[in-house]
Amino acid sequence: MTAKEGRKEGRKEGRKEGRKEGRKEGRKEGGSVMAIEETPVYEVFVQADALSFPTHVGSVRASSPEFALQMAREAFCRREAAHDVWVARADAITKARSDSATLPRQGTDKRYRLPGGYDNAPHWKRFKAMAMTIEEVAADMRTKPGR
Amino acid sequence: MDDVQRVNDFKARIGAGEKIESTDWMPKEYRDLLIKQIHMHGISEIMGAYPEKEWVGKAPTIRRKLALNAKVQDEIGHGQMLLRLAEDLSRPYGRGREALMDDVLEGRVKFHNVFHLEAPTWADAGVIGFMVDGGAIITQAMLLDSSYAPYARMLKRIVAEESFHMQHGESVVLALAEGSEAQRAMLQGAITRWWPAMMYFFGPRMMGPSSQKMMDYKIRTMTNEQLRQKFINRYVPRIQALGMAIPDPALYQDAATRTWHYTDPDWEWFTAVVHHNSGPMSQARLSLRREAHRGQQWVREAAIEAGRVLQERGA
Repeated sequence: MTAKEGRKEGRKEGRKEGRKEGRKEGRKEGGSVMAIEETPVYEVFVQADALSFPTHVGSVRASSPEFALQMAREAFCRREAAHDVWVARADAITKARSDSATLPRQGTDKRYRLPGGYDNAPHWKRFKAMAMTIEEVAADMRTKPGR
Repeated sequence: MDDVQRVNDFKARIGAGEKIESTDWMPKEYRDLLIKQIHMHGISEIMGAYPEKEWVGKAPTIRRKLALNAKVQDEIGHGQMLLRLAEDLSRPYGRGREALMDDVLEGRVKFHNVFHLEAPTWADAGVIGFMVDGGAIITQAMLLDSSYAPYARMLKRIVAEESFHMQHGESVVLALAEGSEAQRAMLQGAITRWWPAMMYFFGPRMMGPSSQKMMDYKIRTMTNEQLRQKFINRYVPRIQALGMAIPDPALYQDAATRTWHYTDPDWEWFTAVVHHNSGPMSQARLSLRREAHRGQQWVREAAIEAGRVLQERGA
């Protein structure tokens, strides 16, 4: 069975059960057809602007991805506008922490990979020139050419 | 019983300042303490919306109405976010959202003492923001460093929104303090009403065994009394600066130790209120909750049904 078929199968089953449950229990006091906890959990990721990474902000329960997006907007985006919002079923996410062998850990000295691992400023000074930092380069790129 | 070695390893992780995720193994004791804390917090956020909701319709200006409405929305939103966390923790017990919501209607979970009380004037709406939300921020700011990472992360969002509630409450309080004699008297009345409730808010001087365990597990990092002292220290000078009186003749700060001395609230009365929902507004607020829960049932059903239809179309 493919993953898609599996999901379909599960959906049908869940539906049947939900209906039965509803009739049996939920209805007694005008109860719900299907309890909210039978709907899937969607993890919510908000991307603030085009140049930001989507960031996990929490999760919602909803009966479909479209509803998950609506719930997410109500729960997490009452103030700030978002460039985009992603929802993904929680059970579709695999986390490295569940298999520690896959978890990136700080082992050996990795300063050689980082800008801070290189102390060029005193050397530049010896040549009577200024050291450069990425922040300063980025700031320079925001000023007009030729200035 | 959990395996002793496993529990000790877990405590060592906590001791080393590590943060715990919902999917990590955790001792039953830790899980139960978290459920107790987060469930009660979530339900209190929701019940906290009711005393203020009363004032949305009666707010004096459209701006105040908009702000108060936004605040009520935030509180319900916080309740939903926190109940999601409580729900994840309650999975081994097979208790979902519906059960966690029903608990408050059936008296199985408490909510904060302040939300059992009356808010008879517009000044009460302001003082709730100023003092109750201000007090909640003190507690929540401590919890930002909680050992349970999903709670600490969610609190970052919650605290950011609560700070608007506090600013809004202060704005209402300041407007009244700058107003007529009648407005100042109204403000004084509200401060007098809410002060003893705020002394109770942070819990007994001697913490119960579960609060103590929450400290051991670093779910929380400060005692009730430390939090209360922070509150008093922050609020007394501000209330006095407004020319308002604090209804406690025994209140003074020890010059040497910087500790505040205060009159105890009526511990027994407040404890009975939260345990038996016997406060002046407990039952009225619970029936509003019950009405909302039943009244909106068709919306929940429609949302679920519509989701099913959409999925079937997509399939």
